[in-house]
Amino acid sequence: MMNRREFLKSVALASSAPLWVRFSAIGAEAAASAGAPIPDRLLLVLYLAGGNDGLNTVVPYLDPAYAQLRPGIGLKADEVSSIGGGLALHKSLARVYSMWQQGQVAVVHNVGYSKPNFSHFDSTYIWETASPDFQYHTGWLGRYLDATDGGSAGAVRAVAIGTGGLPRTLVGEEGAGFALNTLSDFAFADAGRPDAALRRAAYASFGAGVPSSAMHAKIMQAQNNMTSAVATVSQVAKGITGPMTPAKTVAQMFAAGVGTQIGFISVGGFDTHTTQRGAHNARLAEVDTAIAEFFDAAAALGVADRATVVTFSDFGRRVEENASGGTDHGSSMPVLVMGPRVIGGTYGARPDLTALDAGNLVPAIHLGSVYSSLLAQAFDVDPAPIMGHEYPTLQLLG
Amino acid sequence: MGADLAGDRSLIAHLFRRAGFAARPAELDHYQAAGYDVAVADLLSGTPLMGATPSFAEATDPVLEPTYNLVGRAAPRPLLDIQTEWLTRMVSTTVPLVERMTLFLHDHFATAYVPGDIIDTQELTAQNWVFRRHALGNWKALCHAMLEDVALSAWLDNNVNVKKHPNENLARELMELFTLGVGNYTETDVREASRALTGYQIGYNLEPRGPRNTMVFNAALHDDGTKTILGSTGKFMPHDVIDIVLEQPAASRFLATKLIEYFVMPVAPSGFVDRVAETFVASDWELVPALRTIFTAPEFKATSVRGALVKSPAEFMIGAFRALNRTESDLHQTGVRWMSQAGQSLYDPPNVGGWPHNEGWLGAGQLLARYNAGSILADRHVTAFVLPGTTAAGATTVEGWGEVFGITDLSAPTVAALEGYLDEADAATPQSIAAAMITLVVASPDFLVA
Repeated sequence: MMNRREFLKSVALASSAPLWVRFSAIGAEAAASAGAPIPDRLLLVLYLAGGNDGLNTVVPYLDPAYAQLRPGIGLKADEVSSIGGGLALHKSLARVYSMWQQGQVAVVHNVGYSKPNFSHFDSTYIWETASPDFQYHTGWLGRYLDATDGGSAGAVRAVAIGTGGLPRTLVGEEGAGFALNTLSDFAFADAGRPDAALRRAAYASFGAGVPSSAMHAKIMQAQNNMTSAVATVSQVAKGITGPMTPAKTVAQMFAAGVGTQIGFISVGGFDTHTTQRGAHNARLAEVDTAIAEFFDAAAALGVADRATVVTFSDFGRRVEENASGGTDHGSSMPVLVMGPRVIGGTYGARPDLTALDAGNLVPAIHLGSVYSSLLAQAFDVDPAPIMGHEYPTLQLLG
Repeated sequence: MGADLAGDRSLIAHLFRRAGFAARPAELDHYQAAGYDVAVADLLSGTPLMGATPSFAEATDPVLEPTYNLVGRAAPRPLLDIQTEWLTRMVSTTVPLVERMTLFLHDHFATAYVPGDIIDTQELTAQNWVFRRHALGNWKALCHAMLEDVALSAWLDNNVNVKKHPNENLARELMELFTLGVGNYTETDVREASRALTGYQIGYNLEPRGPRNTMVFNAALHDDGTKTILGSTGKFMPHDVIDIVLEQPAASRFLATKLIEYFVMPVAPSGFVDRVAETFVASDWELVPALRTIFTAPEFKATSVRGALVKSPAEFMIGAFRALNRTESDLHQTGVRWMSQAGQSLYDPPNVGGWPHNEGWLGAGQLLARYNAGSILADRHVTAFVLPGTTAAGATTVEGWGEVFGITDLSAPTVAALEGYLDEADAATPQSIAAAMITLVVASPDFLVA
């Protein structure tokens, strides 16, 4: 016994004792219990970072006020795809338009909150917390996770892919979300070492045997859950061939049977103060690509019928173009809700470009209404306790 | 080594896990010889342990750095800067109980970074120093100081609490979360206290030293009418609210319960709460007598409470850095990110109620972050690893590695796991073994708990 403990001396004596066999069996058992049912409803949040120009996304291209206020960057009929009623989608949104034609896109007009805040940080904070008065510091989906499961049942319920950190949207009081750059991030950092298997085996043995206290039992369970989740995600990652994007990765996580029901990805570059036209075309094309990639991957994996995508941004942009061919920070925005379960169409009144408040749109639908609708219709929960307020809902999903 | 002494060593290790960030072997040796009561007294003294020279970090108050605070002349620093700065301070501190209490107070008066709502890095640094100055001081004095704290006032809207439009946010949280607890006040008390708290505004501090903003009392915005708060009636001013609230019998029991549940066990027993609460009454709210009562109590020394609390990510990360003497600030900056992934971003608690405790830290992603922090830290450490006898922390036995991390008695399953690794490790080098031992001890249930 003692010479084994004095391991610096014992290294040379290392033998292939049967311990590894025991460890492997434990590891296999943990991995086998990892499979969780795929949730019935899956939500991907797509954040357009920088403040997307909503009026050049869902475009009132026949409105004389639009043409008058945007002589340089206003889109013409041949630059948009009409969705009726004098409105059209930006031409870059080809996939979104095709989903619109299939009745799978809800356009919620003029969403925001009162007393618009024009700071990127603050307004994004408000959109993520759904709390214009800074009542909440947690994200609206983080609070949903808290309300339904807390931090106990798997950090894999919500993932942000490629966002560089955990977006506040997914921050609950019990820290329920998890941020990955790629699937391989949800992995042991030492996985490539020659002794990785031995380390895993030792780790697995922490969670074996008889717990010494109630707290110890919880820790053993939590550590086993963690290794199981890592093993499962790693299996998911191994099955993937070809280059991955955040959108595809979310689809893989949804389909992996690790309990993931919320994804979060972002497309940046929407702070178009100058020479907006070309940049905005390109950014919206990226958004469209992400949406297409997500639904294509989800369809291939058999989970597309459960999935809904919702967009948001920091804020909308000023109605009138500025002298630099761009737009400054504004207020409300159209929110797009997309997917097979969506009841397609437009919701609310399109913004009135002749009744502005200091050059900005006057929001008509509170962002809390959109979120409450999604919580109620996608996740079948009472939104009021999560939102801290009873907002009127829209029937967005069937 | 006699059985009694061995017992003391284990108890001293327990004390340092709770009143500090885990003991290092030299500290265990020193206080095993000096005795448990000396260890308690030294920690409570707030002066450097074992005659250490305070690091420069402890001597520097960045709030008082004149170049830092001139109004409008210094852009606020990024959040990551002040997070790293505090982490470094905690890792290198020679007064660990001061930093533990500062951390406790940050969790208690949980205020978060919201630069859009005035709570920027300068305000949070200033608040952090209020906590540090009062960490082993007087609770009543601290509560009075918090009324003048810019970050807390903005966080709980007392800067917009004026006679015409009273805002109840601070009054409510003061009673519910900071001093009394639910059930010990009425809605009327909240409303009346909020009236008494009216009149503060945030003003620029024109002094060359000190924080850029300061609370200014404007009598014209104060409701000077008669209020009745918790049975007392008068034309109360803001600071009167603190005195009235702290006169309530519930106040001493409330703070005693929080301290016991932070330092001792998940659920504070009533008799223990009474004894600690009595020290507040007897000393007019001094913190040191209460903490002495806690750390010398049979309930604290009982083996049943050892390992009964889950370490917060801060305790975990600081404990690991301290054990290995890793003082590099670039590493601490990474440590801030690891802590954040493990669920605790300093200066950014999830809400005014503070962070979760115990089971709330056990999410899969959070545990994975802790594991990976340990393995990456181990790699970083072993690049400098040489055999014992030099300055790099290390050990030659499984138990010795436990002691490096302040654990005098590793549990049998953990010892078996580590020995199992050693039995199987082929072609191992001292470096690879050290890396594995660090990784595994840090990942073990033994290090996860305090």
